[in-house]
Amino acid sequence: MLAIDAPPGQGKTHQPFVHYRCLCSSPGSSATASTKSSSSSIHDHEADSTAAGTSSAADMNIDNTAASSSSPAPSSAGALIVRASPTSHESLFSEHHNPRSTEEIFASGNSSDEHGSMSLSRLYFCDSCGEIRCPKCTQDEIVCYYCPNCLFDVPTASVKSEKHKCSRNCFECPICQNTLSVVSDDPDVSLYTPGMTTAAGQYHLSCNMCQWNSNEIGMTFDKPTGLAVQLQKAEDGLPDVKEFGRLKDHLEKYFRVHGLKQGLPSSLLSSIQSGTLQSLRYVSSTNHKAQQSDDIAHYTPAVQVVEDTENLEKLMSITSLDETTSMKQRLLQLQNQTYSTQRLQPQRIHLRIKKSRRCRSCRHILVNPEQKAQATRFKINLVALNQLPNITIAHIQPMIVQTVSTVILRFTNPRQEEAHVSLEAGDGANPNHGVRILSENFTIAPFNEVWEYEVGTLTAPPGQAQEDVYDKTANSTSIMLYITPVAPGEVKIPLFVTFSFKARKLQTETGSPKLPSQLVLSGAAGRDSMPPAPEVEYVDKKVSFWTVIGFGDAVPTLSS
Amino acid sequence: MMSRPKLTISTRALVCQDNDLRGEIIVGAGTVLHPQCRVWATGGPIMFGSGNIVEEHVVIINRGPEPLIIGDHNVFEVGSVMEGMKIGNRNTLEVKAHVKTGTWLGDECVIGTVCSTHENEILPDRTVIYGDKNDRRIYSGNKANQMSVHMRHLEYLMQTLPKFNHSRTST
Amino acid sequence: MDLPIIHYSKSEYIETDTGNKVSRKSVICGSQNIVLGGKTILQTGSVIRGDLKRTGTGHAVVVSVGRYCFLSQGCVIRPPCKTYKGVFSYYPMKIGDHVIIGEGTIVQAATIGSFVTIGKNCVIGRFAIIKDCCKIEDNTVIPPNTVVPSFSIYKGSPGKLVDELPESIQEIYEARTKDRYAKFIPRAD
Repeated sequence: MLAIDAPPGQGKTHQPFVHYRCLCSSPGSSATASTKSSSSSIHDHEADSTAAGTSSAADMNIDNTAASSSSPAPSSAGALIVRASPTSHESLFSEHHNPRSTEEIFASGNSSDEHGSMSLSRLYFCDSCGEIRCPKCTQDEIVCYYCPNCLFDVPTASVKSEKHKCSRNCFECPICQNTLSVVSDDPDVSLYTPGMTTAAGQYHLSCNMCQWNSNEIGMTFDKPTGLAVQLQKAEDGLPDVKEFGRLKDHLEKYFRVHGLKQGLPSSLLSSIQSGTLQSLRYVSSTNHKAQQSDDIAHYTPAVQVVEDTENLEKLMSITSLDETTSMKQRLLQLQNQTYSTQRLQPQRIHLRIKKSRRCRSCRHILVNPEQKAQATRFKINLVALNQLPNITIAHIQPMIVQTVSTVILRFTNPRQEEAHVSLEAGDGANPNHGVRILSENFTIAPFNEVWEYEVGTLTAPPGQAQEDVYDKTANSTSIMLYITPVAPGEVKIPLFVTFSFKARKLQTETGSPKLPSQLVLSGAAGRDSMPPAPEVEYVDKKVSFWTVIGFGDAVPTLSS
Repeated sequence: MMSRPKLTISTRALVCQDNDLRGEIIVGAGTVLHPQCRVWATGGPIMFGSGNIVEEHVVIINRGPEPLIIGDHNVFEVGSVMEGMKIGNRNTLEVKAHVKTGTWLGDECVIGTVCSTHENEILPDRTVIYGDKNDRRIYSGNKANQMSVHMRHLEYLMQTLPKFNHSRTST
Repeated sequence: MDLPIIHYSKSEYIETDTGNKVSRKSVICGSQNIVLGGKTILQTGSVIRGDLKRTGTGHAVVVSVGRYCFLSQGCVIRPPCKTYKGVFSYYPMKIGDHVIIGEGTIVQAATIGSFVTIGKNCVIGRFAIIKDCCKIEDNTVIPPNTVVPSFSIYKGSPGKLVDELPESIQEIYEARTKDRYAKFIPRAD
């Protein structure tokens, strides 16, 4: 199973983990590094396909501390050496010198560890490219918007007009940002019976953590639904919103005459600071002839800003911290970031989105959730967990420097077909721990649903002689590794895995227009000459990827 | 080595069996003690007022020589710990709240979930302690509903708990 | 790391015919109002209050727990209560399948969906609704009436969204709870 439950309270010690590397994370640099990194990733891929896997490990910077001279020369001919640039080394070291626990890496969204590799749970697998895709190699698109509190699907058209906030009854407490509940003054009134005559101003919002309620700012409601609408009128009545409206009306005439694309009037441009609008200037400089006589008439604002001494005096007479707002409270109320807690208002709740993911290279959709906000199913879900072997550490002996420790890795095959795995230990990591793989090539049995209903076979049947694996149960195979740490500290080894299986040919590849199911459905008429169930064609597929396996910390030997 | 508790339970109170009670405890009318709670009057007696609700896994300890006086209509939710010196009326100790030794609580205070007070302090009326950093504020105390909700809660418990639990009587 | 095998002494647990393993030292009040889906484990010290039921006669299910759930030591499952239309009552509570509740957690939620992992020492407030495929970190306090949408990770007090779960989390949690049940076996003696 995946390494989720790390033992607690171990401070700075490292937990064992298994991380897979996506091809976008090239040797030793993050995806945002220079173009050199993208070229090196291509070289990496070519090196893989020539099966010179061990040599390309030379390019991988398993170590994140050494200088650029540490990458040793490759051992076999025909491999390319790509020295990661010094800048990428430094950036790597400065960004990632805080090792993170497995729990954090598993839990954190798109971030990976210092080698750009991440847990299998976060990776996707593109069928058509036949490659691993990490979240950075996928493009997100928004499927739908929903309110996280009422779980209401907001139609995309009204999202922008509602400023990406819930337009029903969902509010956040201005003090503690907890969700507010609508409470009636009379405990006998239920909130859900429509048509009941209620006293005016009977409903208010109340927070059940800090016991704030909207009566403190005098905000009451007549009915328990449609609260946002009732608040909207108050929001629109603010003086700066009105002022903005007036200003926009005044300037709009000029936009309509000249058209926005031709650039802004020169008088406007000259009064704006240069740095931010350089692109606009560039555009407008090509349209000078249109800029002659279009200066805007002077605009007098309806609201005059006076010297704000009142605020200052109030601030100077504050006696307790409770009367002022904290930065967080202030910044959540952007329209009038107030200093006084008395003027804090409940904010509507921000909407959340459901995303679909698409492979950046071949544009195929990898993940497509259902349209309904509350559904947890997916129409398409090409996660790597269902396509690639899941490697877990089944058993580990404590790591001591210069001592051979036995580790058992379990490979689980999620596919319906038998799969073949070959392993190669990576060379050139620093520190280069000794790794000896006892079974470099083995097969894993296919996944069969029947085994789900048996209580798991935990006692290992004797390993089959012909394959020299440690154990084979259900759809997983366990193998042994002998690890000899050479230095104390975290023990990480790179392992190059090649996973081969037979996949059904995709429809586009065969060129035949019908899938077997369609043939069956199309009925007997005119189809008698065709065989009822055509042969399903299988094609051999091979996927290779690097993994980084961490075994925790190695303790120095007592003698040293 | 637990001495038999000296209980004075009012006739309209409900103290379930399966409690851990020690020392001298006086329970006023209408108070409900759920099963699995711990009330240790080791130093001095503990006196409950009327209409209190003490839920399971609550720990109320009185180590000091003076009696611990608990007012009326307080609610001690699951897992809260009360080591203070005095409690007024209509307070709420939410789940896993902790009132430390020597502290006095006024009326209508709310100690939030997993929050704690300091030792030896006096909390004014209507203090709310909330959040993981034990922030405080004074709230308006406008919990007009709370009393009626509380009375109905008490009625319900008086009816339902005896069906599933045995109750203790005065010793 | 794979989960280690957890042994328990046979005398301490009752195993029902649907595969539920209930500790004798757990406190179950009102067991006739509690429904456990099969293969659920209730560890020592866990408390389920099935006696706090809705006012009214008749046999009502107060707490229903799904399959392959794991209620760790010392957790407390209590139905939530409120006044509705002038009537004070406790409301039934529903916990989905494949739910892991950590040690010392107090749960008063209205519903918990399937494939949810709740950490240790959490407090889930009254009438909270936790949808499918969520994770609540250790020591989180979820205030009353909060809704935790699917695929979220909540942390802190009050619980706030800190991260999102990957799309494959349903399979991960399902495999994990099944593995946990399979590795909870009685000691050989």
